[in-house]
Amino acid sequence: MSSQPTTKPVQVQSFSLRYYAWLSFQLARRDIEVRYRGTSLGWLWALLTPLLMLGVYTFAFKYIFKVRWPGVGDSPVDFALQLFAGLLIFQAAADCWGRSSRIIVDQPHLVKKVVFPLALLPWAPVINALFHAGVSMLLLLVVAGLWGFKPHVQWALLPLVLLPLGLLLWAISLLLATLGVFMRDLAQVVVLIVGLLQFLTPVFFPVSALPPVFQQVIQWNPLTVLIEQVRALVFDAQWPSLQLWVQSLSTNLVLAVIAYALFRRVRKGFADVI
Amino acid sequence: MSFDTSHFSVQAEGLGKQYVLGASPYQRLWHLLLGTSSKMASFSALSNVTLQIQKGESVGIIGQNGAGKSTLLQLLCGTLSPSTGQLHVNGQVAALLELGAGFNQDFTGRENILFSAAMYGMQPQYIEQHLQDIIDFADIGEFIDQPVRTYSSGMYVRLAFAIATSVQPDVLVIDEALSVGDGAFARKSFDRIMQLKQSGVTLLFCSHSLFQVESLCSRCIWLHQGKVMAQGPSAEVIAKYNDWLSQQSVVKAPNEGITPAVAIDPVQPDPDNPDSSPPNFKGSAGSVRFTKLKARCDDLGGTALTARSGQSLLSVDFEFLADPQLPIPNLALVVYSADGKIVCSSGTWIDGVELTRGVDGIGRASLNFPKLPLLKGQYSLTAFLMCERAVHVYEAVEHFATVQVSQPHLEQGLFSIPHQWQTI
Repeated sequence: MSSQPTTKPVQVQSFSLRYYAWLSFQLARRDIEVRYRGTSLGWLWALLTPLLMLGVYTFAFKYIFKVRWPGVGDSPVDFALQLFAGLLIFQAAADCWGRSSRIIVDQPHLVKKVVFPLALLPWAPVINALFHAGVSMLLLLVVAGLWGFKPHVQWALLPLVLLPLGLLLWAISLLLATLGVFMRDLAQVVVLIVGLLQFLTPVFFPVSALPPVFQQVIQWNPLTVLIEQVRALVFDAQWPSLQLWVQSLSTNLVLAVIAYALFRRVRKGFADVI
Repeated sequence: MSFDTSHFSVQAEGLGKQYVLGASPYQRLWHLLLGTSSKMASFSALSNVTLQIQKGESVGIIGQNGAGKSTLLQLLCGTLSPSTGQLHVNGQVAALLELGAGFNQDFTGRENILFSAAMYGMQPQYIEQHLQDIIDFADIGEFIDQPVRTYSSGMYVRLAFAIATSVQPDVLVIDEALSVGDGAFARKSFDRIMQLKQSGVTLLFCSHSLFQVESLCSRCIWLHQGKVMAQGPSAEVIAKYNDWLSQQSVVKAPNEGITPAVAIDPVQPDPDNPDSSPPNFKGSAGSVRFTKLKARCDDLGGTALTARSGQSLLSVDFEFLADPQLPIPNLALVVYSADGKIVCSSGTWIDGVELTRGVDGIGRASLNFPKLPLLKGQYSLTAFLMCERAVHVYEAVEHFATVQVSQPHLEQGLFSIPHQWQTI
């Protein structure tokens, strides 16, 4: 027989953190590639989409609704940059959570046919969203630099915001994905909630523009502190508050632990309903 | 219960799987969250299975459809979680259950290898080392860089099998088929499974092919409606199972109207693969098949024969084509009664006959039953061309001829055993 296996198969090593990281990365890479595969512009869409979205929002709010961003200049670019800083964080969450509830349901073979670490699945949309948020951040800095904001050292700290963001996205994604297995209506509900969330997040306005009562309320949105930090870093050249950052990180960590605990508790029931 | 992990691959104690019927997903979620069990009616797919499988042992699982075989295998693989009892599986499990289930249609074969292999638990550096081995084994040529949605089902299963068995598992779980694909690949995949078995892998084999179960597995478990009916040496369990099956089939209508089906390709050179075998060999590489199969009764050939009990000579002429690079195959003939039971069988390996074949790969043999001892009734003949171990079936030609036997006397039964009367 000509094609006998040339080497003897060897024993697989046990699962390691490195393996999980690698697998998550593969899932994410596949997720991102699927999005652009077959399109004629390919990866250019990763840049074009935020740019076009930025144009549309700026046009709508600046020229149709004639909204003025409190405390900054009157030019459309000033408005657009502030908007974009909020939008890039919110859009990451919206993209990710919008499809999280179907992530496990849509992969029945991973639930029923093979033994797969399902808790890694949400990393695909999370890393996907973080990747696009990262691209948008670069775009934000480039446009800000061109428009006359002096580049400064603090800009280099911008990616740090992605850390608590990633944790938050994963926690909520896992929660939605887990519940989504049992509640097929969840996907529809999430679309509504995300749409509502857009106005409960300081995307189109700064927190300071709100009445004091609402300022308190909106701080409960874990996205708020992240958006405020991006704006402070880029436009005001402020050193980010370490306390706020750690606070945000630990809150999101607690959320992640809760989501994972819930996932662990109900995971064995997945195969019965999928 | 404490588990001794040093000697056993699989240990199960009171293992069971119940499905709650009719509960809505919301109710299920609620019960899972509270950790309570539902009071609704449940269906028991498997109940109270206790078994211990030693390392390197081969165990067969037999039973009718819906007996709980697949549930048991899925529990062992970890894709289902048991409702009751305890299960301990020692080591890495590889399952040949749903080959290619995790493939992404839009990705190329190569990308799917990377991804599926990761799902089977292979480390990145391990996959890179073995990527070429997997591609070589699957042997699908240029298609490896094409999206798998363009694959034929044969290519699909080849690639999936190559991935699933590229890792050395501790426990190999096989549902139904000992080989996948067709022709040469079927043989290659069978060899790979045998290689794994010989290297000390614990084998769990679930099949309707009782013959294969008996020849591969020393021990056997018979499941019926989720319960273990018998467990023990294969020969004993299969005998019990066969008895039970025939009791069941008494109520059923006998298997009438067997249609003789013979479709045998004459030898033709393979235009795609002219150089892969010695120049005289006329088949494609790795192929083993019948080229001629003919039953004769008193030198009258045909598919519907008539014979006289105790007088006629029944002969079967076999001609086969086997790649000379493969070991000499075995031939077998099985005689079925009209209700589908095996009356008798004969195999070259059982009778210690070594076949021969020429450089062109063609071999011939004939099997004779002089003074045919079958009693009146209709019988049908099935021929098998099998591997040198007589486990893998290259080709089976089922019911290629029927024999109508008549007798001049009133002797009862299926056949006449050689016997002597003595008056004292």
